[in-house]
Amino acid sequence: MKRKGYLEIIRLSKEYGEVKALREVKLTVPQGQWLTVMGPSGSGKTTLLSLIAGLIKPTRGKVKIGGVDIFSLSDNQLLQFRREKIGLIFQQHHLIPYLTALENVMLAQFIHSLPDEAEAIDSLIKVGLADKINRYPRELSGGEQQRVCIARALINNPGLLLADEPTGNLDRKNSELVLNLLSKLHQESNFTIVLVTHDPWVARWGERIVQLEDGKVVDDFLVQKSRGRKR
Amino acid sequence: MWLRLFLASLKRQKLLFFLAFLSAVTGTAMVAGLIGVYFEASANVSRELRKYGANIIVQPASSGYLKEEDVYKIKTIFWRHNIVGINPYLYGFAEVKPAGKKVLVAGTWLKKEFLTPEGNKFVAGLLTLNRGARIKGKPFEGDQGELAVIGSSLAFQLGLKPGDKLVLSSRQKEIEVRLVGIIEAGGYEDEQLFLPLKKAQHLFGAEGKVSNILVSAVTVPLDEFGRRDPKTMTRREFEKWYCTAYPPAVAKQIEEVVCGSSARPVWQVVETEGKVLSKFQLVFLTLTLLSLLGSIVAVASTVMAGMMRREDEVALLKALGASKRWIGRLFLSEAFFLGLTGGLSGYLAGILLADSINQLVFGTPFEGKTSLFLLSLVVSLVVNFLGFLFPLKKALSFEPGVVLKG
Ligand SMILES: Nc1ncnc2c1ncn2[C@@H]1O[C@H](COP(=O)(O)OP(=O)(O)OP(=O)(O)O)[C@@H](O)[C@H]1O
Ligand SMILES: [Mg+2]
Repeated sequence: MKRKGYLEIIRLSKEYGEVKALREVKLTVPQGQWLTVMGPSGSGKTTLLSLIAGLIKPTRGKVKIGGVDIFSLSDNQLLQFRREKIGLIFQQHHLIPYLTALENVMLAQFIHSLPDEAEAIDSLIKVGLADKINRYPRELSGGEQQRVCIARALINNPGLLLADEPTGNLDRKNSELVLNLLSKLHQESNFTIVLVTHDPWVARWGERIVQLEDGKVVDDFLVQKSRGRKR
Repeated sequence: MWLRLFLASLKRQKLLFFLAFLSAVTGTAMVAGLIGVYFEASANVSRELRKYGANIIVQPASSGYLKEEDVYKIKTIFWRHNIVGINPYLYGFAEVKPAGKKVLVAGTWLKKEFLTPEGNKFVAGLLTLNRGARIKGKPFEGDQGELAVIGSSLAFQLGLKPGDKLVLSSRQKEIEVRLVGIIEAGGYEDEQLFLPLKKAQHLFGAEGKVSNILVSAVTVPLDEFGRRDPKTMTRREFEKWYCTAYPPAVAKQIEEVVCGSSARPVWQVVETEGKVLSKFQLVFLTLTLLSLLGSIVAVASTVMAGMMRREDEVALLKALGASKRWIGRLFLSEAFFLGLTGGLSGYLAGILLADSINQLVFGTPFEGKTSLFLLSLVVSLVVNFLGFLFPLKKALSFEPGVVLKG
């Protein structure tokens, strides 16, 4: 399985003062793979994801996405890179509370380039919110909010989707809905996914699991298709 | 989209924006009011000061006389509206009979109305030039008639009183006049005998001539630039100097219309007035700057409070890839909106303020001007932009990483 990696993480370390959150992590993720990062609390999962997104800077090491070493970019280039290549989904839904579902999606378009209302509505229909596009976040359930976030993360066709505990605040039923949706969209568009969770049940949707402990990769294996993937 | 984002953010933070808006309005009103009053008041103050004597004296450049007809031309110069008093003199000595004494006779206007070339009525003469002068009896008007007014000290020396008939004889002529009043001006005027200008010209055989002209002009205090010698100036500098109401600039313009004259500021008067006005300006400027500063701080602290609550939002925008410029624009458009509305309201409030101050101090109403309106807008925009600066800096420093923290 020596495919050329779309995402390459090379000896990546992050220290917060004394705390070594990541220690020399090496990881290669091929284009289109759904990777699940697992590990106990404090093992460095969020830190890893923030680094891949370029939201924080590493102490040492590199992150290459599509061959681009993102930390060699200038701040503005990095922002542009993030706008164009990376979609983000957070545990807390992080929608702007005073904008409707539609406007939240359009905001991402707007930051990227120009808002396109038709496209934004389309994306909300795809995540099954056709009848709720004009609702405010507080008028949506947690699962629905997370689906708005998925629509927002994918609106600019990123090559890489990063999700930190996307179902962390959802019950099983809603989690399943969200993960099935992601799975469907993943098959349609074949973007690369890095999804962080500590819930093994969630990990079944992915193709490969990386286990982090104390800032180090301790396990890395492919998921048996027969065992997990739901449709 | 911009508008939607902006209106939505506005709607959500109604109270905060309202507070920021109020600070901007108060500040703008204070500043607009103060500046409005300031311009009005410095004009009023300097006009007040100008009621007590001349600040420019016009004399023949060499020996001889000036022409009476040129006196009227002083109301045609660039700064004609600033000329508030004109008073020509023709001096000569004459013997007063029956007292049998030689006295200084001044042919002049006490009060003379004429029409300027623009068709405005203008009252010239000693009594409008020097409001401090008091007349016992009554003054003569215009420049004709067999009437005279005598200085109080001279009247005392000669033992004369209103109603007395006098015979005046110069080397050329002898005339008879009736004393109608005694003038007390507190200066050298009190030693003189005043005749209507035409009468004096007749007495001294100097028809159509005057010895000098006193002028009172509303001027601006001299600064470094105003003190410079116009001969050393470039064309543009000279133009600017010429079109500023500095005393020497006004004097220069008078010189140009009065044939064969040399006009110069009465420095003692000019310097004193300049000092009074400068102090007055300093007080106003300080007040204005203080209120400006106050309102900037008020806006800044209100907006800062709001910004702290928007950390999540800003971090999210950054995580979505919004650049500093993008975020800056978002907040500055809020500042711009507050600036415009604040400026408008501040202007209206400022006019009310200026009006009440003006009514109180000078008894005149204050009229809103376009320039003041523009000024209010600028002030309010400046207050808001500066007020947003610190909060914006804070916002830009928010780390996008926090969005991933649960
Ligand atoms: N901003 C920070 N400053 C200092 N230490 C930090 C910071 N962020 C994370 N850490 C530390 O780094 C280590 C890894 O944190 P991280 O958030 O990556 O863990 P995690 O695997 O995401 O945990 P969880 O499952 O609880 O979300 C922890 O020990 C944490 O305390
Ligand atoms: Mg985490």
